[in-house]
Amino acid sequence: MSTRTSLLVLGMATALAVVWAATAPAARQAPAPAAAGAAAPAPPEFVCPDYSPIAIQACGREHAKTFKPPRTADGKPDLSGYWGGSQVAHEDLEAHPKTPDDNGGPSALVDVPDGKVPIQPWAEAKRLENKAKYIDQNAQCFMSGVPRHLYMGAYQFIQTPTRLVLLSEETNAYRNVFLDGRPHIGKDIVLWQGDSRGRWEGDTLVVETRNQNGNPRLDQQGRFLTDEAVVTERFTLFESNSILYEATVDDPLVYTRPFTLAIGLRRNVRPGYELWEESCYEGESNSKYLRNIGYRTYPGFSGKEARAAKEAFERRSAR
Amino acid sequence: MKNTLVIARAIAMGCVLGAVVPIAAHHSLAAEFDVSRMVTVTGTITSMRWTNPHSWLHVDVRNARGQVEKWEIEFSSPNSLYRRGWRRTDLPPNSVVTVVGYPSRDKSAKVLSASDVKLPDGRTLFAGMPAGETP
Repeated sequence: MSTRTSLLVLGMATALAVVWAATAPAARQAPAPAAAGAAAPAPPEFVCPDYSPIAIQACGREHAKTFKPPRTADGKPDLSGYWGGSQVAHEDLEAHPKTPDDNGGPSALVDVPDGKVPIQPWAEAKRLENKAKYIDQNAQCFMSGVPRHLYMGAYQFIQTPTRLVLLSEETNAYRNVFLDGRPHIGKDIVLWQGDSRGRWEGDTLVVETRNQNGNPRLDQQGRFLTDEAVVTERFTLFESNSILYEATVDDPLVYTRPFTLAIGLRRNVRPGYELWEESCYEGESNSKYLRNIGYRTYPGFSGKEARAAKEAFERRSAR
Repeated sequence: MKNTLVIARAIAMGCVLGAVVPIAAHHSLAAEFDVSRMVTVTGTITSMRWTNPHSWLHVDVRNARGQVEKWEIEFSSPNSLYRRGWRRTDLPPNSVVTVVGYPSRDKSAKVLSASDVKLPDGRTLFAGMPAGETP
């Protein structure tokens, strides 16, 4: 690492430390949204802090060992309700400082020692190209994809014995997670939010998502998935108002190993809160101005394209 | 003076940034807007479009040469504005507002991403998305 790079890293680390030290954990928790015209109640006391994904994963898992979750009529933990949580991962999966553009925060990753996304060299070049050339999908009212869907807004979960429906106000997006053991839909169709199938492992709901279309990026830094990625999410209630949300991204064409991010989803207890329509396209003017300065719509990236790009990159590197 | 008023435009550079609450947009601000500086614009409201994913305030601003410029001011979504206390009656046409925000990187566009808005009745409301807030 060069002296200049070392100083940059040190500076960023110092900036993050100052930001975090200046705010108590309670203050860093997302406040409950307001119902129309209602005064804000005090936020509920959450048993695990939000400031560190590693800490909330460890704390949430520990509490889950003894917590007796509320249960549905069929005896499963009841995940129903309104939820929200930290959204800083959509700015950057890795640690990043507070700026006029970002709220800043630590790395969302919990299973890599340095908090860095384990991206392959060719894919890092592609990521930089993505960031420099293409409009973020959210700016164009496309859906967030998985797992970004769950660090990108306000949610309502509706649970039945055979289905968990994840509703998002952002772009009116939804996911149907089927719990009845049906197989995935096969390779002939790809979807922005993919094809999700869930199963209970004890009191944790494990959801596997395939068939994403290679369009959503994981964050605003251009990190991406191919249409061959598999994302495995784990939902664990560890106290009445908190879900430990863990998502493992497995896309061996792009990343050197699977990696896992963790977030605390917090129950929105605002009286009278509802999700409302967000008819996203009606006022979408951002892409017009972004096109004026050279950005384009991301065309997506398939597994086939990833293999070709990797081979080309390695041929150039071998010369 | 008729519906359009002459108003000053102040540009604050660099040191302003430390005092500004970041906007948790659903996409990066920096791609579209110059977040290294803030611009203050005062003008007369011609319309307010309560649309998703962003509301848009249209304002006539008279520049230093006396010409009227048509500015578009980007706000947060109607839902998040409403939940934070904004109402449709807050921005009546023909009234004067002062907006602080980031200018577009598209030099041909008179567009701001709003942070604070001073209303005709003297109140100042935040038009973006507070850090960490669920919509």
